[in-house]
Amino acid sequence: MKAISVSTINKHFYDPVDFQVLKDISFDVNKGEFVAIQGKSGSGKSTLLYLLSTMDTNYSGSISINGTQVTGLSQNELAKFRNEHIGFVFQFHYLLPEFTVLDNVMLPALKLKKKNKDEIEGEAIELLHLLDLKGQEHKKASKISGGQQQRVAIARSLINSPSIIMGDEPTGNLDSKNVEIVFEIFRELARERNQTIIAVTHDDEFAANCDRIIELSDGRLIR
Amino acid sequence: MNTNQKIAKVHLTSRFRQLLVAVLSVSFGISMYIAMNSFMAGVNKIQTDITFTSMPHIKIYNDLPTNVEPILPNPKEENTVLMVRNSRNIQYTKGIKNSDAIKDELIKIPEIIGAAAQLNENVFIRNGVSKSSASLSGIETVNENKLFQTSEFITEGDLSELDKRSDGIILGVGLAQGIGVKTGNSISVTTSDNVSKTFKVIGLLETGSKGADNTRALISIRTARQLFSKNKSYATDVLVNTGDYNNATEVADKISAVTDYKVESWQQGNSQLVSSSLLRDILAIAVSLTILIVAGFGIYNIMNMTVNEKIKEIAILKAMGFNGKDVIEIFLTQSVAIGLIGGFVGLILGNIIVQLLEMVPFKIATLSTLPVVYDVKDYVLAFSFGAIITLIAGYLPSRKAAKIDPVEILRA
Repeated sequence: MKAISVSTINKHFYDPVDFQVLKDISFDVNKGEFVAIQGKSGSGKSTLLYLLSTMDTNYSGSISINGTQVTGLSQNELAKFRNEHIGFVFQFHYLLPEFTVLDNVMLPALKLKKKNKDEIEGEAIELLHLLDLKGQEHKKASKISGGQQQRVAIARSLINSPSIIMGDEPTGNLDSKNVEIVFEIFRELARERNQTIIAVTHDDEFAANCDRIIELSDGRLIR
Repeated sequence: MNTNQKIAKVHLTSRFRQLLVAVLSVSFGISMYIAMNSFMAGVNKIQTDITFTSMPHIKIYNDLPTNVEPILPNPKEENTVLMVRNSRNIQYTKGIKNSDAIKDELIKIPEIIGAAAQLNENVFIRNGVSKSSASLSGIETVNENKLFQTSEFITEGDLSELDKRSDGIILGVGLAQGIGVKTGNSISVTTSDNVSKTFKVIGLLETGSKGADNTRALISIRTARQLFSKNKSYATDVLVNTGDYNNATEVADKISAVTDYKVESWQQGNSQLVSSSLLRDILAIAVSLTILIVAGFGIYNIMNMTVNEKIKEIAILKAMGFNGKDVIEIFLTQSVAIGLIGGFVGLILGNIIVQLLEMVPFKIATLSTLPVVYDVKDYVLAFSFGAIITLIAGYLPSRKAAKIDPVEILRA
């Protein structure tokens, strides 16, 4: 069973004029693979990632994740699916600024309700320690540094142990030291926990160290 | 507290000033609703109280027959001509000869709480050269007081004195002033039959209704019967009060069944009172609902701003797996909280405003402060209207938030 299976995806933008962003994209991703999506800006790489994340449903073709066909599911079913199977890291940390670091990490798990609150809290603290955020748990998310915020966002994406972690330029706003830390975390997750990682990136060095690079040019898959 | 409620709580408490404004706008609307309605109810109550100081709920009197029988039957033969000259509709009997018997019948009807006989005639009152017409009422002091609390409006003297002195008379203040007499002076009363009798003014009456105060004169009904040479049980009117004046028409129908005299409820004789009280109620409800709706717009505005402010967070929550229903719950919880807090504050504030209104001096007629009525119904209605309006005002922005497409927000 493939982690992700994409077949003949086509996607148009209609506003302001009809424009085809993605043209006949098909590929598979294996479990535990660390994949980078690269391409010039406007090549459709972010669009592709949002389709894979199940947030954007306006396309033709089909996407299966972990053997489940997500194309055609309702918005509420997709929200539930995302909650359980996909962790998302954005270019900006996108934490909820009024909540503590710990609350931010716990939210997706509280929504999933597979475990009780104490278990979730324990796991969240463990994750924060893993990401070198010991001592920051009870600070407001808006009161810590950018690099720390990005790591909190990664902890949040991991709390439900999703089988796939997606990143939209997860290191785009970080200095080289933090990029290295984040990369190492991803590397480890892919290797040790057999979690699949797909990240859109501009960073050639970051991409070069991945298992595989998917390259887009003008909406076509070229590698 | 579940996750959605926790998020709602953080949203609310992190912007205390906005929460305060929203809560205050609801409180203001609800307190105004209570104040307006309590005040209007007070005004209506005073209005009916004043009205019923001189007017009974039901009046029984001897009216001219409305369907006049022809004096002669129409001739059957075609070539006979019937001519009646100068035909008049003559009343065979004046007044009610057996008012005591009627009163005994009335007391058997359970809704009736009191009945009093009156003997009313127009007379002339003279004090030397100054004279004035007056409507003289012979009253049964005890029953009269039970119906109209007449003794409360006696500014000088005592109502029960009328029973003790057959030459005692109580005058309306305007009337006494008009002919220049004070308590203790003597006046002479002349009837339409030109019978004169001297009375001594033993008291003054002020009801607040200028028309009554300028014309009314009270004597004992026994003295009145003597003055007009009538039999023992004679009265021109039998006045009846019911437990609830709104039922007067139904009770009047019951009374009609036991007597042949004309029975008239106050609504039949005074439709202007009914309509003005109704109009005041409509006005009060319209104004206070408008205030509540404006408060609703305030909440709508604040919730809309919150949604716009939190649009990225909503997108994130959705990306993490929160669905539309969760988002609606988060924002609806906030507006319900605002509605409940604002509602309770509004109830207390409204009660305080009503108490303050009750202290405002207002010295007209028999009033000394503004009239208000405390009615639990007003508070319940204000709270439920407030809750419904905040629910609607909160639902619309939250539905908008639920429809947010996370992709559009996160890409931008």
